[in-house]
Amino acid sequence: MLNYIYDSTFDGLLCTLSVAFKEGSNFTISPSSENQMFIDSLSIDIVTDKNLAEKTYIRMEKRWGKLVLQNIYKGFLYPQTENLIALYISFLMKSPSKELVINHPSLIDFEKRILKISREIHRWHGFLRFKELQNGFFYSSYEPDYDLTPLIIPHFASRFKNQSLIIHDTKRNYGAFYQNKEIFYSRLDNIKELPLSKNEEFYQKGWKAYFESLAIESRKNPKLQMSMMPKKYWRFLIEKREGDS
Amino acid sequence: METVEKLKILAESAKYDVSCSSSGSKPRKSSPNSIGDVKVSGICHTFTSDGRCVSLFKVLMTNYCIYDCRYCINRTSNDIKRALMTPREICELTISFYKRNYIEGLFLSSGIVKNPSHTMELLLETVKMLREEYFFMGYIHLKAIPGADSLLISKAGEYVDRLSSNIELPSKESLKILAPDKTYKDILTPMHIVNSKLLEHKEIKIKNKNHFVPAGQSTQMIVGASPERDGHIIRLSEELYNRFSLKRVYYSSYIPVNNDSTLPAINVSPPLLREHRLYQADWLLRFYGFKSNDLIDVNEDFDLAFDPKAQYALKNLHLFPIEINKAPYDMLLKIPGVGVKSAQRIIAARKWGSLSFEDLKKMGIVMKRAKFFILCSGKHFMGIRFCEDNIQDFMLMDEKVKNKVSEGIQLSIFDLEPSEVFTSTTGNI
Repeated sequence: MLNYIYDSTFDGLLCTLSVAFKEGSNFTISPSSENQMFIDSLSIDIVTDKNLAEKTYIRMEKRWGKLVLQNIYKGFLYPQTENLIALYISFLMKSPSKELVINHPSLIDFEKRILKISREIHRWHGFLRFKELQNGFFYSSYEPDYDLTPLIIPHFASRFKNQSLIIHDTKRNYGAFYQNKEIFYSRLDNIKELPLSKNEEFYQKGWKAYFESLAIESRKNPKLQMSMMPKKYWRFLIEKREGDS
Repeated sequence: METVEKLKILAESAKYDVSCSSSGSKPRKSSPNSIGDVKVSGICHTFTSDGRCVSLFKVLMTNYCIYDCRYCINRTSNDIKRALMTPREICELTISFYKRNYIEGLFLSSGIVKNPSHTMELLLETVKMLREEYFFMGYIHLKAIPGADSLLISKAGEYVDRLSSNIELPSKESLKILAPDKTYKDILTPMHIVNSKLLEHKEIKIKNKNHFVPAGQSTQMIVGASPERDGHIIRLSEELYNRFSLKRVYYSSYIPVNNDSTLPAINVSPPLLREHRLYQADWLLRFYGFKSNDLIDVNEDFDLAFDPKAQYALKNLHLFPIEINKAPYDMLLKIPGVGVKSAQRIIAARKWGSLSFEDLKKMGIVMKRAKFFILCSGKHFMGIRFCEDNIQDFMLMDEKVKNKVSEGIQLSIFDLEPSEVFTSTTGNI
């Protein structure tokens, strides 16, 4: 069996898929970072070619639509999912209905991983908090389990189209910027102090006071709160941060 | 009074309204200056320590009120701090909170000042300002004030995503005793107006025109303050769904805030499990094809030990066991432990071949429940024999084990339906 090794980038994965399926469907894919020795398989290094990646992307999108590409990208964000992605594609190539494919019993695991990514995206859509800075930017920092920023920023860019936004992934040290209808990415190390706009503290205080008044004492259920909003999100929430406004 | 102080008072007064859903709406036409949009699935932005989702900035314009509803914290005879916010103040707060991603939008309600129409006018002014001056395209849920001029109510419908008018109590008689200033007629009139307008819009399919309450209307009733049985309550909900095509009926466990001879004692704890059973039954009406008659007699309450679908299955054992690989969709939905998502998944997956118990488990079917009621390719689940006499005992045993593990009431959500789970109280089974 052939084992393809790629550079862990999405472009690299697309190139690998393109090359591999031309040769048949009996293969495995692994990222270069976990390059194990396969005794009984032949390893092939794939060189990432931007052009080929783009062509492959467009071809797949034309054939199967946006949703399938989204599934593949979400799968890519989940560790060690390359082979499930390949399986997904091999079913897509055989099946007359692309909607049905995701329900194939051998893809349950793949579907679950995608769901996990989608769920985290959905949660951050709700839990991300912006602070207004002196320079007019709305800044937000977070640490998602998966590298979601490219999937998160479009939601905020369309919602706050006239605001300037920064979404800072402090775990991966980069930020997505949105300004004048354009999105760009840049390396961003941890910033200690950001000068806030003059109203920022007022609204943070107001929100915190509001939030605290909302709970109904006789229905108290911290377990339910925790399961709906796990603790790992709390330090990013203005209303849940202690002694900080 | 300072804004923060006002916020506290008006949040405190608004918190007993259950709904916080921001789902199911349609986007408005945006303009270059507009801010915001709506998400079909709705988004929860935080959860209070009682585990309720906060999606909207839920607030009263004022907690001054001329009415004296017995159960209400804001009744005129209560000596509490009162506050009032102007339309401008509400708009500024909504926009500023929204820009920081604290909320999906506004849920605005109010005590009655002067008279219903005057109150409704102020609410209308606020939502109009939010849409036309601030170009806000996010979600707005507005209370229709019972007794207000019908023109004001239908005008408000053009600006908001959802209108609601609370039925408050499950019968006319109880309303008379506990909310003497309100009548069923006043409460149902806004529902009528909204429903007929909605039908009108549907029929002529007005294009390029802004919507009329695209997220539909909802209502809320208090459970446990008056003597109505679950069977009566669920029939009332069914009628409301049928007659006014409501999107949701919310049930709110009675929480004593006032000492009053007409009400349960102040130290009674809210009937949360009962409320949960009602939500589950409500779900069965809306998504599982059940009728109230299938579920419960008019003078009965739901058994707190089992969810209503399990109760149905136990009463109708002749319909079971159901063959997973053959049963039509509507029968799959009748199986305890199989939700809407699971039933759809089974239908889709079995096109690829016969499903085994192992497949079902992987697909998220709650086998602990379902195992008593299903066959896979003619076989029972390992070790289960379908015997009418002891299913209930076995299920009870499972329940007991569960209760030992998690003390007290556990409002479990058996089958995740992300859109609803993320947005509001659910009773999905």
